[in-house]
Amino acid sequence: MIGASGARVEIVDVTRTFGELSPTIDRLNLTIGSGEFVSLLGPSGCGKSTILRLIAALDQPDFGTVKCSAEDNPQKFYRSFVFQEAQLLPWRTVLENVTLPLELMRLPRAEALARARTVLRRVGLEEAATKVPAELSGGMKMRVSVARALVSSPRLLLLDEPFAALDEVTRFRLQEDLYQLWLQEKMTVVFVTHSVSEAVFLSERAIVLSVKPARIVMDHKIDISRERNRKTRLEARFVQEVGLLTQAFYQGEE
Amino acid sequence: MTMERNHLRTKIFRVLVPLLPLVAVTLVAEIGVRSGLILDYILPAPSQVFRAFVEDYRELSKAFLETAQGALTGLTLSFVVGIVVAFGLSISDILRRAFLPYAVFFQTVPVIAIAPLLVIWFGFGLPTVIASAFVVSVFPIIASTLMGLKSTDPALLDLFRLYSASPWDYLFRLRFPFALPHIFTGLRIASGLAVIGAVVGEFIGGGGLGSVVDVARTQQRVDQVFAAVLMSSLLGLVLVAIVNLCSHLVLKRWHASERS
Repeated sequence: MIGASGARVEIVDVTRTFGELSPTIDRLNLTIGSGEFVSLLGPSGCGKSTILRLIAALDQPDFGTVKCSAEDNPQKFYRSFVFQEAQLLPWRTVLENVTLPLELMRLPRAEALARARTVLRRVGLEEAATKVPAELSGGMKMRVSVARALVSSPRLLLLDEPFAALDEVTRFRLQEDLYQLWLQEKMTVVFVTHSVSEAVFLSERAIVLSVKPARIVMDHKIDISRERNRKTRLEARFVQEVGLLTQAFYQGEE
Repeated sequence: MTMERNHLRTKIFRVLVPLLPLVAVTLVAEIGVRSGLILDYILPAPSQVFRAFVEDYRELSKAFLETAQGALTGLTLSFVVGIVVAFGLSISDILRRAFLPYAVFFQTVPVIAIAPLLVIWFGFGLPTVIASAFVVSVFPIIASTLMGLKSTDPALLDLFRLYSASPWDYLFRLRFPFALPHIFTGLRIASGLAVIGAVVGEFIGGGGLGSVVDVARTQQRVDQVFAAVLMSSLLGLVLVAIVNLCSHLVLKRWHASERS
């Protein structure tokens, strides 16, 4: 369903200030390669979400440039965003929520419905297609939100602490599902989190940011097997990586 | 079985409790008037009001329908105009700044004071009644619709921006459905006000329950005044019940206010 390569992201000398004296982001440089799964880690209020919004073009930098390019997808709809909360339209059914991006992209209805049903099957929500969000659990709502983001075949998937409000079991399950989806689709993923273990489990690369103004404390390649499942969290290498990033996390808070 | 019985008991309790004050007030009024403690040209006995209902049934029901026609037409007009005006004001900041203060001012003008003007503009009869019902009921619809349209979740606005949604998409796929609970709140307030507006219009423009009240007052028929007032209240309740039913049908699946 989705093409081969992900988008490439280049953030060059970006500064963003929100009406205060000190900027939230000050001359940040960061390149994210095509098909990478990158986690942005950092303390609350350090500017992680701001970076994500700049990449999504939902916000503009005061200085510097943010460039995103998806070579195999010349049309502009190659970015998708998953918010902290599911942000579903409460009056629409699960199926209608998932077709929304395709409706806005003016895709024929029959094609939109077929694509939405395929994505719902992949996130295990085919049975819930006719339910409305009020009839779903928190985990199911977040699955719908992920399905809505995937339905437009994005080359760049941006996620802003999507599993933060969920219980641990649901969170682990959704992390495993997201990782499998990324392995299959190979789109570029930028994942904002303040959970170190979540970043280690999901990413190929983790970037630890300092407190405001955000600067990169550590740009680290996660060195664990690509075969990631519920046993991964118990492996010595996983624990070691968590320790390493936690140390950098504390360093960023100082 | 016990649960079902408890449920039934709760239901009966819910119906009976609000009826108790009504029964008490009716009994006190009846005894008060019959014993001569209350003068019947000040407050008629409930039995006299009931008799007025029976004796003047034809006149009252004809008046009820006339007032209902005026109030319902005025309310429908308010709904259409209110929604269109709120849409316009929500789209443009300049329009909102230019016209919203006048809409607020319009609302503060007492309808009883402008009713004679309405007669001059629209003549005697139904047009004045409709205009009067419209004048008092349009503002709650504008205000609540506008509030609903402006209170859309910013994250959802971002979602629409991500897919380059058109202004039409924003309005009809997002803002309008989001505003529906607010619109129903406005309609609920407006439906009561539309009846008040219609009756005030009838005081000056003639016809309907307003006219019955006015004529009965001059004839010292307090029982008939009470009967007409009760019928206008009944009309207000019917309109609110219709709005509640529509709100329930539209929102029951997804909005917390109707899900419980």
